[in-house]
Amino acid sequence: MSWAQGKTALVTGGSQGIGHATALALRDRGATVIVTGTRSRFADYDDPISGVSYIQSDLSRPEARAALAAQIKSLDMLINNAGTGRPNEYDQDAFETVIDINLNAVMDLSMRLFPALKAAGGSIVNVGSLASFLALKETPAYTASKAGLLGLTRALGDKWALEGVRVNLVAPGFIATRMTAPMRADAVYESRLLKSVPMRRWGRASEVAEAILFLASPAASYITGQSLAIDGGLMLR
Amino acid sequence: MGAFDFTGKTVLVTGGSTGIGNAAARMFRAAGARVIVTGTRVNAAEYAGSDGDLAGLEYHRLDQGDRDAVAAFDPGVARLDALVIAGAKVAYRRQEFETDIFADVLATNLIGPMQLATKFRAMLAGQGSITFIGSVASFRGTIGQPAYSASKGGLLTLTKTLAQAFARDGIRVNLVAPGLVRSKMTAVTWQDPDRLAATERQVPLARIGEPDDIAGAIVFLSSPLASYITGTSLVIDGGLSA
Repeated sequence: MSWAQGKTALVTGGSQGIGHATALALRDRGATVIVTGTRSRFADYDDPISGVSYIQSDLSRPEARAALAAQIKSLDMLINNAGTGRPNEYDQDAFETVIDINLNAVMDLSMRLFPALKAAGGSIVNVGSLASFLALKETPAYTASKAGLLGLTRALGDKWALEGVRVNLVAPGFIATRMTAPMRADAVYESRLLKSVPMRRWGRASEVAEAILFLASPAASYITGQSLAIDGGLMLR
Repeated sequence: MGAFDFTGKTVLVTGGSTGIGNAAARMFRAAGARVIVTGTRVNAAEYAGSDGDLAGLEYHRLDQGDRDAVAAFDPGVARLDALVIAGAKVAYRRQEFETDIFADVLATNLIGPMQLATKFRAMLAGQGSITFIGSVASFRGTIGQPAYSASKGGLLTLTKTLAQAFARDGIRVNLVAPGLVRSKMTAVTWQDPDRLAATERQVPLARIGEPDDIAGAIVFLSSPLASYITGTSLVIDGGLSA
C-alpha cells in the first residue's frame, strides 16, 4: 500500500504546472487531494483532474487565506506551490504583490494550518526556485521571495521539529510549464538557456512533483529545514 | 515504498555490509533490485552478529582504499543502474592528524570513490546514477577528524564535478549528507549516554539518525523519480544545520 493512502494534501496553485503534476501524483498514490486556483471552477483550467477537489482562493488576500484554512479540517501535507512573478518587479507595487503571494501567503497559510498538520504528524513542502540561491536580475521580487522562502523553510523547520511537523523546500530549475513558456518562444534564446543546464533539457513538472512527494513521505522522516534542487545540474555552474 | 520499483535493476552498494550502506542495500532489495554489496571482511558469514543483514545480497570482499583491489574488482554484471558508495572510514583519538592515517582515510573515502565512479562509468551510461555518502562534515569542520572532513568535503565537490562531466552520458551524480547516524562507525559518539544526550539536545528533531533515515534518500536519488536531479546534496540531519 502506498504511504499516501488515506492522507490528505493541500496543493496551492495546483491547477497548473508543478502544482498540477504534484496533485496528480498524490492522487495516483491514493491521497485525498485539494487544490487551489484563482479561477472560479477547476473546469476553467486546461486540465482539471478528476478525483481532486478544487477550492477557488486568491491567496494574495488575507481573508481568502483565512477562509481557505477554515475549510481544511484535517491535513497531512501542505504543498505551498502557488507563486507568481511580474514583468515589472522594479515597480514597488508589483514588488509587494509578488512578495505577498510568494512569501506572506505561505507564512500565513502555514501558521493557520499548523495545528492540523501537528495533529496529523504532517509536513510542509515549499516550492522555491533556483532563485532561492541565485539572482534573477529582471525579477527582484521573485528572487527575494524565493530566497526568503528558503529562510522561512529553515526557521519553520527548526521551530516545529519537536511538534512533529517537517518543513522542506524544493528548488526547481528550468521546468517546462506555462510560466516558462515565454522562455521557449525564441529558439535561439532557448538554446542558449539550455547550454547552462548540464543535462541540456527542460525539467518536467512531474520530476519536481516526485521530489515533493519524497520530501513529504515517511522516507524523508529525518529531513527537515532542507532544500532539494531539481535542476538538471543548473546550479553547478 | 511502492513508488520505488527496482525490479529488473542492478545496484552496487560499496560498504553495503553494515550501517547506512546495508540499510540502503536492504531497501533496494525490498524494491526488487538485484543488489551487490561490498565489505572488508572475507565473506558474508563474517557479518553474523553485526548490524548488517546480507540475506539476498551478493557479497564481494573489497577494500575500496586499495587501488589494485578496486582495479581488479569484478561485480560480475555487465550493466549497473545505480552505484552507491557507502564505504568509508574514520579514525578517532587524534590519529587523523598523523599523515599516514590521514592518507589512509583519504584513500578509502575519496580516492576509492573517484576510482569506482570512473571504473563503472561505462556500465552506468544511459540510465544510471551515482550516489555518494557525504556527511554534515562535507560542509563544516570536525575538530578531531581532519581527514574525514577533508574527504567528505572533497566528495561534495567531486559530486558537482562528476555531475557536470557525466551528464552527457546520462549519468546523474548526487550526494546525501547525513548528520550523526547510529552505526558501527560512529559508535564512539553515541554509545556514551552523556555524549548522545548532548547531541540530541542540539538536533531539532531531538534524536540521532538511523541508517534507514538515510537509505530512503539514497533510494530516492537512485530512482527514476529523481531523473532531473544531479549535482545536488541532500542533508539528512534532523534539522541540525537548518
